[in-house]
Amino acid sequence: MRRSRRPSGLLGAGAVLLAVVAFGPPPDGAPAGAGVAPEPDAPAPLPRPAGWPAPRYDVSATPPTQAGVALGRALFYDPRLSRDGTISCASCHLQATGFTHADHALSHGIEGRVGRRSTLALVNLAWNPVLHWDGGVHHLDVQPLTPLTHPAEMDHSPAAVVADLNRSKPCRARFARAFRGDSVPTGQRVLLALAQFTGQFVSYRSRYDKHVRHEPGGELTEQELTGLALFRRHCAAPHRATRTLDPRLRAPFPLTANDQRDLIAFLLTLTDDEFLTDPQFGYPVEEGGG
Amino acid sequence: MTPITRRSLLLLLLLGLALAPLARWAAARPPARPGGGRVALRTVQVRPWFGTHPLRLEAPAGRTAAGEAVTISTLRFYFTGLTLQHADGRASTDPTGYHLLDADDPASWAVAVPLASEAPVVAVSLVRGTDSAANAAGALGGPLDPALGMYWAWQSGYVNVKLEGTSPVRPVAARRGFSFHVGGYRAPAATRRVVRVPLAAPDAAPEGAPTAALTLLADVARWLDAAPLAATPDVLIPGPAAAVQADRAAAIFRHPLATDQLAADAP
Repeated sequence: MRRSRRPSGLLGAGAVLLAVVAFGPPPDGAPAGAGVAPEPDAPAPLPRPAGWPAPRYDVSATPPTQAGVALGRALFYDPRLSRDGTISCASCHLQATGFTHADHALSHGIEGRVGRRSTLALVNLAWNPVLHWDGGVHHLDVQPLTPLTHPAEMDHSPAAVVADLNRSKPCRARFARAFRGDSVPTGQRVLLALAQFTGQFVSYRSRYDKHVRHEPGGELTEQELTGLALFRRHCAAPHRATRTLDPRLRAPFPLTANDQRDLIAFLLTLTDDEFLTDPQFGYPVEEGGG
Repeated sequence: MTPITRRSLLLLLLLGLALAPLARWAAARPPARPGGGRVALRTVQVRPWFGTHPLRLEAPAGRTAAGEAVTISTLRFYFTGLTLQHADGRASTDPTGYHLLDADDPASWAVAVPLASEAPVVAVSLVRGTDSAANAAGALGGPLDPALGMYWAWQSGYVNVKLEGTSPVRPVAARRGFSFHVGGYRAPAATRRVVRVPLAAPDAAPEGAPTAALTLLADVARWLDAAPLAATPDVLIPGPAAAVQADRAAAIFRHPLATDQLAADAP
């Protein structure tokens, strides 16, 4: 599930130093997008926590900027991305629950249509080799196309979305800020901006992460450690592999009531209150509807 | 200093002043081509075609070899690397990357190729479709923008060729329609094809019009002759069926024959 198993020794310290030198704020410092009216071109690098491997998502061609992240955030919360203007990405990906749809085994799209998949959490996306339950999407940039076009989700077309956004003057201004003065919304830019925003959803402050890094606050109880062992034995492989998954790994394992309690206790150590309440990921109130 | 020396110095200075802008201009110029001289462009026009006529969208296009009446509504495909093979063995290649030809947009039919030789053209080659690098990259721009309707969600990547239309031989339930969306970049069902079209006769640009357009036809009848509509299911995903259609969609390119009505205008 997490890829933070590497001990954060000298290597980790080096990574932090590099991040400080290259980007300014360290991973644990001020979050990107915080503060008022940042420079549009100011970089908004993907958080790169100490000890984590290099992200799979390559941003070297289009490095995220504050304005790009802000545009992605506006789009993420914009219901114009659905055919009837009722559903945004955030309708099913709620920050308070780790960008998944709590209490919904299956999410509902426009007109109350019920889909066939459970909404996945959006976290640490830049490290995912593939996306979706079945690994059906191979690149973070193009992931939004699937919910956007699915009849039971947003049921829209990228061309119509782009045409819609083109008609909005505030929206074009936002694109101009994000793309060096070029105000024309295109499919590519919509997708890049969304990836710049969702790429920022990095959870590295949880108790489990601190545990792996041997940091204060990372102590796990006996029950949580038992749950972690269960997770490693039964779930870790399926959660790491996706497309090339050995079918035997998908077989359910016998779970006693005790196991269940232990496992849930462990899973709760993965949640991260700071991440779930971080205002930079919330509805862009101060920026208006755009 | 004698007046003569002074005069020659002055001359030298003037000459230097006169040459300075020339030197700057020379430095700013794009690098000269191996043959020297400026680069001439030759326009290649790829015309959507059906049998002997220009393809008219949303109108009866004609009949296939199997006698099936056909109306085409969409013909779009990606191509890149358009290359003119010259009689002297040289080759002129379009360096501008991907093009999306849309039968509905005549501006998308023409490509200007910088000439590496003035020798007659004996063949034209191109790569029809996108390569796996384009498919594995994230959101791309220009002709590869995912909003242009030529990109599948999931791992399928780009639709390399889209051919849609109707025929009375198709089922009523499908509103008589057919759709061939040919894509897929993974072996063994990759759908990108390298196409080489030998010209019927070497194409020497006419006297006085060295850059006159060279016409190539994208003859949909050739595709449908090989794929009788009564017996060819729609193709909407990558796979073996798409790979078969990819071969047929590569066979549409040809050089005009005497029987082709080039003067007839497309709508």
